[in-house]
Amino acid sequence: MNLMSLVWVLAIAALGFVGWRGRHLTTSRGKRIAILGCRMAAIGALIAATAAAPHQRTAENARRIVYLIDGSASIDPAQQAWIANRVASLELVRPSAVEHAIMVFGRQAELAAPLRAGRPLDPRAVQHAMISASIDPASTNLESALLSALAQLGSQRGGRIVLFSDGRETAGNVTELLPLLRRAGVEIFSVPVPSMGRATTVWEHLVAPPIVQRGAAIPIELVIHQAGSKTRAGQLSVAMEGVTIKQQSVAVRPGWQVIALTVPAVRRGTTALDVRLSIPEESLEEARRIYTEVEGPPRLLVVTDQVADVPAVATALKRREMDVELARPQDVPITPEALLDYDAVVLFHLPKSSLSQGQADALARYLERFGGGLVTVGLGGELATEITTPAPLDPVLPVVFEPKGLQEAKRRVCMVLLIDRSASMMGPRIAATKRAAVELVKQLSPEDLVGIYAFDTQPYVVVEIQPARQVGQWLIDKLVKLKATGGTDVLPALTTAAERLAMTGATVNHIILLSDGNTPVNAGLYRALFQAFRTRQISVSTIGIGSAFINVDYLQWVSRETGGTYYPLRDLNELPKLIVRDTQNQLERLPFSEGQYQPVKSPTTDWFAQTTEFPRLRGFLTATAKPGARVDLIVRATDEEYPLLARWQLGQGRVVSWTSDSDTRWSPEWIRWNGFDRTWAEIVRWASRQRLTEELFVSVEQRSGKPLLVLEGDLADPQATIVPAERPEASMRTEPPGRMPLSLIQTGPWRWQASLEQVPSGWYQLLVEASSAVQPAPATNGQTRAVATRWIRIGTPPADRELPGQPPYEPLLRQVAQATSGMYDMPDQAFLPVTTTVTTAVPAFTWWIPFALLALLGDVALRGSSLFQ
Amino acid sequence: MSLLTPWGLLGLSALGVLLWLWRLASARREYRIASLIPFERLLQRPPRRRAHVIVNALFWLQAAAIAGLALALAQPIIRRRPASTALVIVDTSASMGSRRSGATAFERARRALLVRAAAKSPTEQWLIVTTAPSAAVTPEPTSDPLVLSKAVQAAHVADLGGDLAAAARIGLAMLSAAPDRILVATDEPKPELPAAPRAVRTEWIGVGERATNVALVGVESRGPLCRASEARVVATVRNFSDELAQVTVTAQQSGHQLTAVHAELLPGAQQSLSLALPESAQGWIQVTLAGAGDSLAIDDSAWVEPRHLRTLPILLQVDDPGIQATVASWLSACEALVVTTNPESAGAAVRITDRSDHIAAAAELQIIPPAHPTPIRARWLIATDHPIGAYLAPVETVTAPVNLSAGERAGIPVAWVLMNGRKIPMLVAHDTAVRRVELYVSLAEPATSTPLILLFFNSVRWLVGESQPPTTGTPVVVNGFADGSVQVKRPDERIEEAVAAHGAVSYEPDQAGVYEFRQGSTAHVLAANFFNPLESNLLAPVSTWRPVDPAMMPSHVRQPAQEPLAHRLIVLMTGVLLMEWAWYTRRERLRGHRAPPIVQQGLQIPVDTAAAHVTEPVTR
Repeated sequence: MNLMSLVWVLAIAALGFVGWRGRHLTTSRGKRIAILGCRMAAIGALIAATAAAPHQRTAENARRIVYLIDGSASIDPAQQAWIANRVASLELVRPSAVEHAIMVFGRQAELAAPLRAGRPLDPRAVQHAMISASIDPASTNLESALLSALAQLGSQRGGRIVLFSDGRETAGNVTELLPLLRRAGVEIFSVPVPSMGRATTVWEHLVAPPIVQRGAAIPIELVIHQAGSKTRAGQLSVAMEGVTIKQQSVAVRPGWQVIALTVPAVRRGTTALDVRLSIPEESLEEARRIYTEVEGPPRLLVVTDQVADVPAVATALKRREMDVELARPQDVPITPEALLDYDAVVLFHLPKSSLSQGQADALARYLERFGGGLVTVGLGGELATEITTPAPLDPVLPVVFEPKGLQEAKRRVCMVLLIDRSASMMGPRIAATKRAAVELVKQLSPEDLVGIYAFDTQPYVVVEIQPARQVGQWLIDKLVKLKATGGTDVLPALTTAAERLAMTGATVNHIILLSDGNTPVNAGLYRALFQAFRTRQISVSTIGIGSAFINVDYLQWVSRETGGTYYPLRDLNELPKLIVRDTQNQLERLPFSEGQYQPVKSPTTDWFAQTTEFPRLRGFLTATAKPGARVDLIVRATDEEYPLLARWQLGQGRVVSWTSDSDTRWSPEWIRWNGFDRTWAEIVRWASRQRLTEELFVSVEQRSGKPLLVLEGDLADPQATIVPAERPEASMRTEPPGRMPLSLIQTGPWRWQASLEQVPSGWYQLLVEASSAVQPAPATNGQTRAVATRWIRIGTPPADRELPGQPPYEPLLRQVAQATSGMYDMPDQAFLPVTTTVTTAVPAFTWWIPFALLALLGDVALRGSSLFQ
Repeated sequence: MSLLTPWGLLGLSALGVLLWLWRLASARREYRIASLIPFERLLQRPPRRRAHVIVNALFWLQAAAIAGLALALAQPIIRRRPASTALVIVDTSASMGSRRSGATAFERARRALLVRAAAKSPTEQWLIVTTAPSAAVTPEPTSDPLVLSKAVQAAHVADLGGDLAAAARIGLAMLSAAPDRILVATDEPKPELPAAPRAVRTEWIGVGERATNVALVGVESRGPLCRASEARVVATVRNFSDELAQVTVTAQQSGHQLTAVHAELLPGAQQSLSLALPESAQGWIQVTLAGAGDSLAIDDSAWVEPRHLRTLPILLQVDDPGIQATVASWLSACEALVVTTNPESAGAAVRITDRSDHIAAAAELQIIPPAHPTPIRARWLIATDHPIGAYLAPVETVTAPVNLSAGERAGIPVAWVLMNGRKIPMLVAHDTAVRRVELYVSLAEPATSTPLILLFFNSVRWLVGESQPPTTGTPVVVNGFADGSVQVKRPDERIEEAVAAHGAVSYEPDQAGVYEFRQGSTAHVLAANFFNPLESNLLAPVSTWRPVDPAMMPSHVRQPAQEPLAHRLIVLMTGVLLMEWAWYTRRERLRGHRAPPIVQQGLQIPVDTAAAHVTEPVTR
C-alpha cells in the first residue's frame, strides 16, 4: 500500500470515527446533525488539504530575467567592462517590475545577485558582481550555466535568460540541453561579446574528408579569419600518434582564407590527425584533432609453414590488388581483436593440428562475431594423421575430411636403389643386383619415379631419377658396366639420395640400400640425417649384401631409424624377391587410385559463371560437406563425388575450404591456368569481411535545434552505433561502456535518421552495419552484415582551452536563441512584455484550511453551552 | 524557521472568533438544579453581565488547532542540512509501457519507488528526474514523503525514447552537491561496469523482462525526389523475437478499414509491406499493426498522409534565357518534377524564379545572378548541418559566376564564397511561414560544378518540404497562422495554447497521434508518429546508462535544504481535532447518562429562559 492509499484509508477511518462518536451528542437531532456535519467538514477539509494535488493557477506576474554572464578566461577585462556597461544600459530600460538576477559562470555558475525588482544596477555593481564571483574560469560550460539559471527562474514558465558570452564553450554540450530549456518555457536572448583583445586570428574550421583510400593523400583544410590588416606569419604542423609528419610555414592574410595541406594516408583504419596552428605575433597557439578513416584493398593474413616460399595463391591475390601478409602458424593470434586488421585469414597447407585451441577459438570468434573470413587451402603435415585426428579448427570448417585418405594420381612414388660398388660387390653379387633393379622397375607404374645410384666413398649416378617408363634396356647396360672399387661410405650416398628425393615432391619416398654396411659411422651426422629423413618422410630399407661379414647392426639401425625394413639375405637369388617385396610394401602404404581428376561445377552453384572448364588436378583430400555448406566445385573419383570447393556462413563470417593444394604438387595446371588469379580473387573476396563504403553518405543535421544523424545509402536493415573518440580502439572490439546504439528510423527509400539529442558533444566513430544490396552475396544460411566506419562530430567545435580575445562564435549563440524562441543580439526585447503568464502550483491547503477553520468555528458555535457540560 | 506565505497567519484571527464563541457560550451556560425555590431570590435579581470567558481543555485544544492551522497556512519551512541526497532517475521512455503479466513495467517501477520512498531515511532528500523527456519532476530536492509520492504518482510513460545518462547529467547539474547515491528505476538491463574510484553508489531497480514484440518502425508515402512514384504507403515492420511472427498491417481512415496486408516475419526480420490505397482515400490515414507476441502498444500505430500525385509541379518563371535553359535541363533529369511556366497551374510545389516579386503562398527558389556573370574559382564554405548542405564537404572549390555585390543578405546562410578575404553568403534560406531560398549565383552558363548542382537540388528538396510526419520529440513548425494564440488539440483530447509568431507555430509533439492546430477558421492537422527501434526491442534492450564522469559531479558545498512543515502541521492538527472531538463526545456521553432534570410536581413555575441561567460565575 503506498502513501496515498494510506492517506485515504486514514481519512475514511477518521470520518468514521467522528460519525461514530457523534452519536453520543445529546443535543437535538437537527443540531446534532449540524455539529456532526461541521466537524466532518473540518476533518474532511484537512484531509483534502493533505492529499489533494496543487491547483495550477495562471496569473500575470512580473517577468523574471537572469543576466547570465560569461566569466571564463576567454573573457578579458575589456570584455568584462563591455558586458558591465551593456548590462547597465539594459537596466536603464528595464521596467522596474521586472525581476532580475545576475549569475556568472565559467566551469560552474554562481549567483552573484539574487532575483529582485526595483532599482537598476550600475556598471560598477555589475562588474563587482562579475569579479567577486568565485567560479573556475578555466572552462566555459554553457550547459551547467543554463541549468543553474533555470533553477533560479524556478518552475514558472516565461522566464528569460540574457546570455552574455563569446559562445566558445570548452566543456559540456549546450545543444544537448536546448530541448529541455524549450520544454521548460525558458527563452534565451544571447548577446555576443565582441573581441577587444589583441588576438585577431580565428581558426574557424578544420576539415578533412571522412574517408580516403590508402596510399592517397589526406587533404586538410583550415578556414581562418584574420581581422587585422597585415599578413602574419604562422606555423602549421600535423602530427599522427604524437609524431609530427608535416610542418610548414603559412602566411595568414587579412580576411578569410583557406589553408590547405596534405598528409599521406599510410595505414588502414582510423587516422587521428593533430593539427597545430601557431601565430607568434598574436601569441596564438591552438591545436585541434580531426579523424578520418583510411580504407584500402582487402587485407589478408596468409598462414603457412613455409613462409620463405610465397605460395602461388598469395602471389595471385597480390596481383589482384590485395594486401597479403605471411605468417607462421605459431604467429596466429589467440585473441580475435588482433585479427581485426585483416579482412580474411588464409590457411595454406596448414596442418590442422598446428593451431592451438586458443588460436582456433580466436578464429571462430573473429568469424562469428566480427564477420571475418577464413579460407583453407588443402592440409599440411602428415596427411594420414591430419585427416583422422580431430583438431580445434574442425568446427569452423564446412567440410569433414574423411579417413579415406587422399586421392592422388599414382605418379607420386619415387624409389631409389643405392648399390654399394665396393670390392665386396663383385661377381655374382652384381648380377643379382642387376636382376633386382630390373624387378624394381617392373613393380612400378610408368609414372612412378625411379633412380639408381652407386656408391663407394662417394655416390655416382647410374640412373638419374626419372619415370619408370623411361628406364629401358640401357639400365642393364649401365649396371653391367658397374665396377667395383675400394672403400664404403654410405653417408654421402644416403645424403645425395635424400636430396634427389626431395626435389621430386613425391608422396612415397623410399631408398633401398644394398650394402654390407661396413662403413664409418659418425653418430652425430647420422642422427641429423635420420632427422631429415623423418621430416621428409623418406624411408630406407636395407639389404645386407657384399662381404662375408655383414654389419647387421648398422643395417638394422638405419632401417629402424628411417621406418624401413632390414632384410637379411641368405641367398643371392633372393635379392630380386626381396626388392619386389619391399617395393610392394611401400606401394601399399597409402590407398591410391589411378588417374587425373577433373573439377566440375556443382549443379547448384552460381559461381564461376564465366568459366566453362577447369584445369585438372592431380590429387585432393576426400571430404564430405557438412549440412548447411554449399559446394561449388566437385571432383569425381571411384564413382563418388567429393567437394573440391565448399563454403558456408559462420555467424557473421564466412569460411571456404579448398580440398586440393593449389600448389605444384597437385595443381600445376591450375597454376599455369590464366583464370587462376581471377578465381582465387573471387573466392577470397567472397569470404572477406564486407564493407559498404562506396554508397554510404553520412551527415549530421540540425532540425529545429535538434541534432540528427542522416544516413543515405542502398542499405537493408542498417544498425548504427557510435563510440566516443576517447576510446576509438573500442569501436568493434569491446562491449560497452562507450558504444551507444542509435535508433535508426527509415524516412525514405534510402534514407535513415537517428536523433542525437542525448549525445554529448565531441568526436564519435560511427559504425554502420547493414546487409548491403550493393554487393550481391550468394544466399547461404544467414545474411552477412557489412560494416562501414565514419567519423562524425556532434555539437560545437571543441576548443581545447580558453583563448582570450577571440570573436564570438555566432552560430552557437544564434542556435541557442533560435532553439528557445529567444532572440540573438536583441537583449532589450527580453523585457517585453513586462508581465508574463505564469502558472504556479498553489498548494491545495490554501483553500482547504480556511474552510476547515470555518467549519471548526461553526462546530464550536453550534455546541453552545454544551462545551461546559 | 521562515514562512513562505506570512499572510496565512491571518488565520489566527479565528482565535478571536473562538474566544468570542466561548464567551458567548459561557454567558449562556445552563445549570440544572433540583428546585428553583431556594434560588427564588436570585432569580429576581437582574442578570449581571459576564465579563470573563470560561474555558476548559476543549478550548485549548480548539485554540491549538486553529493556531496550528494558521501556521500551516503560512507555509513554514525550516532549513537544515540534509543527512543525504539521492538522485532518482525514473525511466519514462516508451518501452516502460510494455505490459507483461498484468502490470506495465512503469507501474512496477512506480510501486518499487513508492516503497523505497516510504522506507527511506526521513532526512534523505530526493531529486526525481525522468528520462523522457529529460526533466526534473521535483523542482528541488525534498524529503517530504507526500511530495515525493505525488511526484512519482504524477510521472507517466511518454511516447518518447529516453536516455538514462542524459537524465543523470541534468539531475547532477541541478544538484548543488554530489548525491550520496543514485537510484535508477528502468527496464534496461543493468550494465556491467568496472568499479570506478570516486563513483557514486548506484542502485538499480530493474523492472525489465525479455519479451517479444512486433513494431512499426517506419511508414512512408512518398518516393525519392526525382523518381515518380505511385501513391502508396509502405509500412516497415520488425519482429523483435526469436520466433516467426504472423502480422497484419491495416490502413484505416475514420474507423473504416481501407486495406490490410498479412505477412510472416522471420525471427529478427524487418520487412516493408506495401499498402495499396483507393484513389478516394484523402487525408490522414492510420496504419496499425497487429501480431501475436506484441508487448508494446505505442509502436503499433502510425499516421501518414499519402500523396496521390506521381509528380511534383515546379513553376519556372525565369526571364534570363540562359538560366531558364540550365534549370529546365537539370529538372528534366528528374521524372518526378514537372516543369511548368503557367502560374495558373494548381498546386505548384516550388517556384523557381529570377524575378524580385514573390508569390506569398509558394515556396520559392530565387536566383539572383551577378550583373556580369564571369565565372570565379573560389572556395565555398558549406553549412553541412543544414539539409541544403547535404552531400557536400564543408569546404568546396567551385568555379561559378557568383554575385559578390554588397548588400544585406538576411536569413540563414547555408553557403558562403570566400573571395579576396571576404566571406559572402551566396545561398541563404528563409525558414518562415513559406520557405524561400536565395541563390546568388548565375546558372546561365552550363554549369558542371557538382557542388552547385547539389545545392540546387538540395534547395528544391528543402523547399518541397518533409514528406514524413514528424516523430514524437521532434519540434515542428506549422505555418499559416496570424501572430497570436493558437489552440492545439492533442491526441488525448486535451487543449493546449501555443503562440504563433511570424506566421508560424513551433510545437513539440510528445504524444503519438493526430494534432489539430486551430486559430479561428484556420486549422491545420498534423500527425506525429512514434518510431524507435531501440525502444521497441524488448527482447534485447540496450542500455543507455553510462558511468557518471566524476568531473561532472557538482562540487559545491551542500546547501541547507528547505523542509516544509505545512503538511505535518495539518496532520497534527487533524489529530488534535479528533482528540478534541473524542473528549467532547465523551463528555456528552457522560452527560447523557445523568438523571433528567427534576420537574416540581404541581408547581407551575414560569421558567424564564434567562432566569433559568445561573448568572453567577461558577468557578471550579
